Order: sequence, then C-alpha cells, then structure tokens
Amino acid sequence: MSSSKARQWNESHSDAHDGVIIELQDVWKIYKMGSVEVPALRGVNLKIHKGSFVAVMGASGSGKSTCMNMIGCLDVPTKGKVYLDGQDVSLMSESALAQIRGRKIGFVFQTFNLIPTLTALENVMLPMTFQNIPKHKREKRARELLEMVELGDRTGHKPGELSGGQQQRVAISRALSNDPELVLADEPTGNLDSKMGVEVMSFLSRLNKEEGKTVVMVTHDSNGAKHAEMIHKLMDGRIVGSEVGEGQQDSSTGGKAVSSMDYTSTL
Amino acid sequence: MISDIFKLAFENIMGRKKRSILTILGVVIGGAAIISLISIGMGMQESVKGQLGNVGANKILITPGGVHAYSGGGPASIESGSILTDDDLEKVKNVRGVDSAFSILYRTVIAKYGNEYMYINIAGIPTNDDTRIVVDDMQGYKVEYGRRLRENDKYKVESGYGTAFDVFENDVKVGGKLEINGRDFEVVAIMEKAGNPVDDNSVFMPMESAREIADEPERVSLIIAKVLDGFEPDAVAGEIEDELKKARGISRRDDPDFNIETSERVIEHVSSVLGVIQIVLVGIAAISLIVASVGIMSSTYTSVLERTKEIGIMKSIGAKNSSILTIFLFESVIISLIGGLFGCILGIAAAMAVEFYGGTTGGSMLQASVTTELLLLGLLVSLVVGIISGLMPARAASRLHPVDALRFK
Ligand SMILES: Nc1ncnc2c1ncn2[C@@H]1O[C@H](COP(=O)(O)OP(=O)(O)OP(=O)(O)O)[C@@H](O)[C@H]1O
Ligand SMILES: [Mg+2]
Repeated sequence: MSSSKARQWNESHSDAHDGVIIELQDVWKIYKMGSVEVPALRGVNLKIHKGSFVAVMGASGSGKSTCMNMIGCLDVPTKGKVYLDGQDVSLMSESALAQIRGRKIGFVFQTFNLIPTLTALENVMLPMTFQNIPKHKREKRARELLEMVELGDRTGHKPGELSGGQQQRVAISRALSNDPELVLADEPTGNLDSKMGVEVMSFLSRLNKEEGKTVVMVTHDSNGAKHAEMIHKLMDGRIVGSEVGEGQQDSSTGGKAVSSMDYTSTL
Repeated sequence: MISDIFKLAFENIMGRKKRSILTILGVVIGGAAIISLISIGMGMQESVKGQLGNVGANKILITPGGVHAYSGGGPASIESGSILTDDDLEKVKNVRGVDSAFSILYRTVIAKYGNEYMYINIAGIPTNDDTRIVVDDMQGYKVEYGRRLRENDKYKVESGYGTAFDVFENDVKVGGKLEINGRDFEVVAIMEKAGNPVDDNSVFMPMESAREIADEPERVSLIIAKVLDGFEPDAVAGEIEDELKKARGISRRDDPDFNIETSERVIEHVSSVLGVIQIVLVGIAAISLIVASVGIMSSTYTSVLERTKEIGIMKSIGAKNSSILTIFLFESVIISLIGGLFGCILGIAAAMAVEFYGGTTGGSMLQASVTTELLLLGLLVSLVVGIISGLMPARAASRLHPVDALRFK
C-alpha cells in the first residue's frame, strides 16, 4: 500500500527512483509538551540524490535537527513517510533501523558525541563492533581512518585529551567506519573555531567528491554551505526555498588527495 | 562482540570505582552470609545426623516422664516423680519383638584428676559380656586406648574422648586415677571419639558403681531396646507402652508417665527441627542478598542515567536495543560475580572461624561443611542476582528513544 503510494509520488516527479537515497514525503513531526503541541516539521518534502552534497540552513528552532533525525532514521515522523532506498522506514522494526543506522548512515554531531571512556581508536571501532566485524579488521580500518584525518598519532588518546577539532575528526572517522552511503552532519563546525571549521568542512567535501559519499549537512555558516551542491532553507518546519550551491560548479575543493582506501576490501 | 561488550561494561564499572566497590561490598556481605550460614547449617545437620546414625533406626528409647530421650537422668526425672527401674527393663525385655534391651544411669558429678576438680558425667552401663556387646553395637562405643571394662571391674572406668582430652588440664591417661565422691577409679580405657557430646563427655563405669555413687539403688535414666528384624519399631514401641502402663496401673487411654520413642521418630523430629533452623538461616542470608540486589539495581539505574547520552550515541551509530541491554546486564553481572567470589571466600572463612571457636568451646554441633557444590551455588546465586537486579535498568536503557537520549545533558 505504502510502496504503491511511493510509486505514485515518484511517477509524478521526473527523477528516477534509482538516484534517490532518501526521500521525505509530507513529513510532520509534532512534539507534545503536556497539552501543548509543538510542530517541529510541517509537511517537509525532500529528495536527496546519491552522491550529492546537500546543505540545510535555517534559523534556530526552524526544525533542521528534527529533519536530520528523520533523514538519519533516528526518529519516525508523526505523519508522512520517509523512504530510504525506496523502503518505508515506518514499517521497519527498531532493530532494523539500528542496523541501517549502523551500516548505511554515519553521523557527525555538533558536540562530537564521542564516548569519553574509550580511546580515539576504540571510538572509531565501536560502530564496527555493533556490526560484528572481526577485531583485527576493525582495528586496521580504524587506524586507516584516523590516519586519513591526520590523527594516526592520537589513536590511544581519550576524547578529553584531544582538541575540539581533533575530536570532530575522530567523529568523522567514526562516521565513516562502516563505509556508509550517507554521511549526516548536524552543525559539524558549530563548536569549532573558524580554522578548524574550514578543515572539517573540507574533509566532508572531499568525502563527497572523492569517495562519492552522499553528504547532508546542517549549517548556520553560509560560507560552509558553499561546498554544497544544493542548499535547502527551512523556516518554521517547512522548506521555503532550495537553491543550487557553488559546490555544483566548483568540483576541485581541497586538492590534496585523500589517502586512497578500498573500504569494501577492508570490510 | 561479547568480549567488546564486556569491555564496555567493565569500563563503565571502572569509571565509577568508588560506587562500584560499595555495591560490590554489599554483594560480598550477602554472599558471605549465604555461604557461611548454609555451611554452618549443613554442618550442624551432618553432625547431628552422624550422632543419630550411631543409634540406628531400629531402636526404642524409654525415658522417665517429662524428660526427653538423651537428656540424661538428673534433677528433672526426680522432679517429675516418674521413675524407670530395672523392673521396667525386665518387662521391656519380655515384650514380643524386642531383641535385647539394657539401661543406662547418667549422673553429673564432681571428679578430681590430679589436683583438679571438674564436673563430669558418669554413665552406668551393663558390664556382663553379652549385654556389653549389644551396648557397644547400639551406641557405637569403641576403645581407643586400653581395654574394656570387665564384669568384676567395680572401681574402674572407661573415659570418653572429650573427658580424657578436653576437661582436665592434664590429659587423662590409661592407668590414671579419677576420684569420684571420695572413691578412686582406675581409668582402664580411653574411648574413640563418638562425635556426640553426651558420650564423649562421659566416663563409663559398671552399673553397680554408678548406683553407689549416685545413691540410686533402683532408678535408671534410660532404657534402650533393640527391635528384632522383621518387627515394626512403632508397633513394638506400642506394645512396650501398653506393658509398662499395665504395670503402673495406668489406663490404656491415658498418657503414660514416661516417654517412649523409636529412634526413627527421634531422627525425624531432630531432622525437622534442623530443617527449620536451616530455613531460618537461609532466610536471614536471603534478606542480606536482597539488600545487595537492590544495591546493584540502584547502581545500575544510576549508571543508565549517567550514560543516557552515550546510549543515544551508541544507538545512533548502530547499537541495537539488545546490545545496549547486554552492556548494562553485563555491568550488573560483573559486579555481582566479583562480589559473589569474594563473598564465598569471606563466607568460608567465617564458617571456619565459627567452627574453630565453636570447637574450642566444646559444642561439637558447630561445624562447617564447605563443599564445591556450595561454592558453585554461591557463584550461581550471585550470577542470578546480577541478572535479576540488572534486568530492569538494562531494559530501561535499551528502550530509550535515541533522539531523547542524545538530547540528554
Ligand atoms: N524533544 C523535543 N520536545 C519538544 N520540542 C522539541 C523537541 N525537539 C525539538 N523541539 C522543538 O522543535 C523545534 C525544532 O527543533 P530543532 O532542534 O529541529 O531546531 P533546529 O533547527 O535544529 O535549531 P538549532 O539551530 O537551534 O539547532 C523547536 O521549536 C524545538 O523547541
Ligand atoms: Mg539543531
């Protein structure tokens, strides 16, 4: 029933379903605070194409994080549908969603959200642990990822012993550990100074350009949003405008090559 | 995977050392209580069963009214006004189904050995060879040093093991002299340890000598009858009861002025009393274990609360509810197993200490029985306690909504 609805919706649009990794259809999210209802999202329609770099912008409280939670399968809509690779997320069990989050999606948070009791290496290994990947493979992959973000010499440090920028780079490594198709970053530079911010931004951009990852990023910073191919503007829980970003034309960000890694072989 | 989850749980525990140690301490105390109380309870049961085992199931014990079997003769039997005599013994012997019977006279007296005066028990026993064999067989008396009393050994005694080694400053030796009521008695034998305080702390002498010392020409403290094979002890006891009542002019329907019990019943009674004691001991231990379990539960709840954000993070990077559940369950199980292990060690130490001090103060009932089964039981119980007390907090953790958990400060 729901898939036929999805087809209908797809048919009414010119995009081929194949190219879409995630799709939000008239998504509502209403928080209930006692008797008061707070609508955080009010009918969001959004398609994210594979391999694209999308920025979401908007004022504080406009629903950006809520929207990201929908995209990342961390939450389900009050109303409306979310399709991941054409599959209705609301029909999936909690453990299936956890599986998807673990395998297909990598999160980067504004507050880094590393586990404080674990070392950088262990933090990067953790998502692979939950996917039952053998220890030696996990460790090898985690080291490679940390080297990629130039933290090869900090593997044994705990988050408290790293700078904000370093922590965020560990978090990026962690987001990539299961080689996800989709990387979601909610204000990844929000807690960093501008120099660090630029660095993190260029990492994300290179992930998109060189590794072909789909990147969705929430940002307040219009400079940062420039990396994106598409910028969606949210206001009061609605998308009020989408524009093509500079990322579309300028494909030569960074320049330094990301150490080439064959994820599929290490996994 | 399991080892990684174990590691995560272990890090959690190590991250709050002081609180973990306090929680573990609770389990140690609970576990120690369980192990020590059960082992003492079992020890008590073993020791009493051992004593009763000597008696055998086919015996009938008759004591004067109001005084229970094995409590000995003494003031109580005088107060009760009811007496047993050798006439009664003869009647018992003639009852159908009785194989043989004999009587014992117990009395507590002051005895002198060397320069020391001490209270001891004397037991007058038959010394004619035929009966003596029956006595030894029924009571399990064996000579360790020296020789048996003979029929004409009027002022000679066999000393129980306890009287020989625990009562007097100088150990009583074969050939030594015990002065009882101004009479010298030569010690001809030291008996083997019987394992029950009544026999070990007595000296045995011929019945006539005991009568003289106790100034009891007729009375006996206890009549023991052995039932012939093929007869039902309860039925024979009924016949003896009728016979003795008839001799005393007591109607069949009235209560007798003496106690008659089969050894079978005595064993049953004692076992059921021991069972109750055991239940009480285990109950006390269980309460302390419940307290420990509540401690683990509250510690795990606190840990879940403290780690709410981490739970959200782990869920966002692919942890299933079951993984989160396992992490916190491991946490409580690790705590309870560590506690259980130390609790077992402490419990054994405590049980042995009780046995040691109990042993030196003469109560041979207090002995500890430490078995591998008991230790495994201790660990198993602590495992179960860990799982039970961790289950609720772990479930609460696993059911947290990822977004809510991530927002938690
Ligand atoms: N768990 C919640 N309970 C109640 N209201 C919520 C909850 N989460 C979000 N909201 C409300 O929903 C609206 C959107 O919140 P959201 O976090 O998506 O905003 P945002 O665009 O990410 O803002 P910011 O830029 O400050 O991060 C806000 O009005 C917020 O108060
Ligand atoms: Mg936000």
